[in-house]
Amino acid sequence: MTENDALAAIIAGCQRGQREAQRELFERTNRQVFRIAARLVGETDADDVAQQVYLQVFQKIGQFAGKSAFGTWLYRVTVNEARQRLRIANRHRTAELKDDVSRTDRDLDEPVVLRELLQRALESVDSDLKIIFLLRETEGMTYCEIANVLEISSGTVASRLSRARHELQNQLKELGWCG
Amino acid sequence: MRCEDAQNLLSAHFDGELPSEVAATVTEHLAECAECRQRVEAMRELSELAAHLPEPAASDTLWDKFATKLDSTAVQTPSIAKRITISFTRRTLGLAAIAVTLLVIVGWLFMGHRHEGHDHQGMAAVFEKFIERFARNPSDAHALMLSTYENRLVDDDEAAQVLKRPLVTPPTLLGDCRVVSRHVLKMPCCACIETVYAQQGKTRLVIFEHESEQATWFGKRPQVRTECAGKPCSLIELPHGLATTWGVNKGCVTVFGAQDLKEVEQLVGEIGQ
Repeated sequence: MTENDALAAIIAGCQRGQREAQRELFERTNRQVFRIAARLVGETDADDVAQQVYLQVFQKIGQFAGKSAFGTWLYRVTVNEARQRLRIANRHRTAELKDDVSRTDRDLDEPVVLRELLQRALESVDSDLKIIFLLRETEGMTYCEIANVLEISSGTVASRLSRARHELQNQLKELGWCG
Repeated sequence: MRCEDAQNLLSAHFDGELPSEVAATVTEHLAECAECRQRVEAMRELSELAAHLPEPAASDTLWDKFATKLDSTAVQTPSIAKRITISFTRRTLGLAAIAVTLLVIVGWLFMGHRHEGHDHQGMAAVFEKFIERFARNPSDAHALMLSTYENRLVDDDEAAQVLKRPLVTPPTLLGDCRVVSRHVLKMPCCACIETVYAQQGKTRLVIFEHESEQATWFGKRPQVRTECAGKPCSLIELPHGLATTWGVNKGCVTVFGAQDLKEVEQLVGEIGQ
């Protein structure tokens, strides 16, 4: 049995409401769901987002007709759920982020962990740009795959990714990155 | 190729996403343009930073937490008839078919029911169950509302549009209770916003924003009318904690899950500020 056949069998089991199949699907995919959720909304909220993702997946899996790859559909549900959470949380995060940047300015003489700089920079850019950057750089998706997940054109993926890189580089420079 | 045109393509070229003829033109340009080479180098460095982002790790208990939620939202099977496993011989096939048909009809009448058009007694009965379930598991109580009333997950802006006024429930309450979801519920009294707050991953508060006071929600439980944070409130005692309702900003708020009067004071003070 190929990997695709195995996944199809698990999905069929989930469509019949089989708990073992649901658990199997969860075990196969929760790492990627949690990873993208945590990178988008932070680790504190990622658990909740991941749980909401799987609730939606199991509620709607009966409607999954296989027209797109299951992985694409799962990413789409995860990104949409994370966006929902970001919309709710973002208004009150802006004030906190400004404080973070000013603390960084004072600490420029101290050694700074580069990946923390990138995490801070990611918090500062528009969430749509952040999502596209992460899907490309950390999930390794092609423009076509990203376009399918986000339901936009490949051309839009290309232009937004270019903007994301430009804005992240600007943010990193403001945070003291000399690269 | 002009530099301005090349710069618009550098990101896609870096990702290997350009058609081969265009990619070749950009490659030729890069051989001659130091500025564009610098831009590509910056993208490469950014990509390397991204490669070193820490990999967030899900907790080992994520499935257990989720399975509890899955049980309470009853997503496993959509129809009562499908839960019935019947084994029968050929002689009982006809009887079994009739039984399944009857079960499907019964299931259709009761499954996925919506209480549109129900009177306030109906809402009182629903809230009676809500309060019972809230005592055992607040997530179950929330799941009951979603299964009883037509509903939709909304963000803050959509919720405010439904209420036709700004939301009064903030993203965080009591220091560390944070909004996990907002749903609009189409209830007989009005379209109501139900907000669920979680504390350390567990549902802690369920708060309803609605048009007018709904005395029936508390049923026949003894209500105490008092003043909290300067506002007149009605309180009832739950099996574990308190529920309270008061008027805020031309509407009303009903909170389930306050642990004691001190928390009620704090919640009334924070909500609507």
